[in-house]
Amino acid sequence: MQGRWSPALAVAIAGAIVLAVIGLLFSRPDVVAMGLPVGLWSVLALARGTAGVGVVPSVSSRPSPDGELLTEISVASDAEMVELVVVQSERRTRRAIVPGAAATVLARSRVLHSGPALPVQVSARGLAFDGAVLSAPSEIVRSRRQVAPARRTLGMLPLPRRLSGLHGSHEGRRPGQGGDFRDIHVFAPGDELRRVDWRATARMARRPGDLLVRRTHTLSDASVVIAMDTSEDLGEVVASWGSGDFERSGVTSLDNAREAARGLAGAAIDAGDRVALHVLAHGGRSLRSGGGSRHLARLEAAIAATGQAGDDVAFRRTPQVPHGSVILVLSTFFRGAAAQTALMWRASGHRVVAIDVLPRLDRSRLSRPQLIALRTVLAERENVFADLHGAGVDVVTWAEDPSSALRQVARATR
Amino acid sequence: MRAPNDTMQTAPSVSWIAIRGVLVVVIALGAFALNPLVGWQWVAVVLAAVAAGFPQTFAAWGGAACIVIGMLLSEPDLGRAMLAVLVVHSIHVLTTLTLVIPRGARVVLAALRPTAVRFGLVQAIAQSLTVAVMLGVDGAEGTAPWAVVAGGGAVVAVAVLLLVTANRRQSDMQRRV
Repeated sequence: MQGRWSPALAVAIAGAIVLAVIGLLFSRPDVVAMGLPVGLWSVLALARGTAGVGVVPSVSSRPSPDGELLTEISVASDAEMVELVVVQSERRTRRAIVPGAAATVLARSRVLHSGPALPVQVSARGLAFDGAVLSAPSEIVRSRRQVAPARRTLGMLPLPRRLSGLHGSHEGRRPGQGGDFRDIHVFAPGDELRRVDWRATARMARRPGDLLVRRTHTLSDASVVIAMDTSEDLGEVVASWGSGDFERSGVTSLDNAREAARGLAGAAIDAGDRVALHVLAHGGRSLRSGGGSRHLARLEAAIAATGQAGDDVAFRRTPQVPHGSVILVLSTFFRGAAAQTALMWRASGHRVVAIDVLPRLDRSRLSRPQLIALRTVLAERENVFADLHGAGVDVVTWAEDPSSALRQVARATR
Repeated sequence: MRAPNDTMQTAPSVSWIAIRGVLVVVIALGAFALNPLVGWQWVAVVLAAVAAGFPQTFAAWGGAACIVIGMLLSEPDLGRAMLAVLVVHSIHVLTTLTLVIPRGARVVLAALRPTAVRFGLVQAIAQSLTVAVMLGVDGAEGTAPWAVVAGGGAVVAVAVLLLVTANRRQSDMQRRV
């Protein structure tokens, strides 16, 4: 790869000439001699030329302890030196001059939030001959990572009013196998002979030949739908809202949403239920309903890859969900769209639980007008919750012991 | 104290400030050693500070000019000439480096190895030539300064040749692009 000359070469040549001329004019060989090293340096530089300063940076993830992202940056170059420009976590730019041959640099970033992360972006420029030869900057190489949220164990989840699945761990109302006693019923074609209750037959049969069977409830699985609203990512430090500073924002609403989604998905899959995931943004990720450990792994990967939607991304219209599902809507509910979607699902007959993922708020460093504005939007949010509650949607605050709140909702009959 | 959120680990390195600090020190020491006039010494120091802050101004070459003035004001001397050759070369190499080492950068020491080797090589040749030229002049004291004329002429010829070559290469590259 061809580079270009730095202005230092022209200055060196000019300097050598000027020193030689001054030495000649004043008959001073020592002044002429001062230009000798610079002249020699220029000769060597021109003899070398501008070739051989190409550089190709690369990044690779390295195993790291929990709470850290470790990325190895290496360069393949035939230049003498390489200037690396490394942007860490989209917030801090660092520069380093490293040797061109077999140089590696380790970038370490503390994990502050779950979700998609960009711990390292790097570009490089080859330098040769003390920096007199420069290459053009290379392409920017990025290391993208997905940070899984913390695993949170949840107990009982709310169930839909009607269980429609054919196998699972929840006792349904239909007759079948696996559940508790349902009733005694007259033998009908299709009933198993081992189900005949001879004592009941002897006691209650009205005609000779009548047989009575013990029927049990069937065990069913539930269909759980997790809907994530990614339109906002609000940290616990209210002063950081809108600043884009996620280094000092504390835990954010999307951190809570990802943690909640992972916890809910894990609890539902552990209970043998089917889980679907929908990101409520236009073009957002959707995973169809499914069960089992492989589906849970897919769900966890999708949840870890879910980040904030762009400001101009429209809210998604209500996604299709399986009939008779329990739908868990994860949102801050500052914007009405998530609440509207929840109400539409509730009106369709689904059991809907609104999970408020707004973290506990830190109101420090807020001015009086900001405090008033915050109180106003929080009051509007309370109105939204009141509407949801009135429509039969349960509301759970994730920041305040969600496990017991969900158990309470699960036990309540709607 | 809490550890920083983002860190970068390199081989043993120095800060960009060290390179610019060395530049200031070299110019200041050169000026104080080779220029007898106090005013020019402080002009050199100021220019060194400007060069450290804004390398693209090439103010370091202004510092070198102060040293040249000091040399012209003093009698020719072999030791001073050798020191001046060392100082001017150092100023030039450090200025070239500061042009490409941005603020806030870490410089891995191993990256400076080719520069150090080249510096030694050029100094070995230049100091030998300096000794030869200075001894030639001292030997021919009182006669025509042929060594000055020859040396100066040679440097000018080489410099003109270099400029022509550089221009030709530049135009070749532009034609290829």
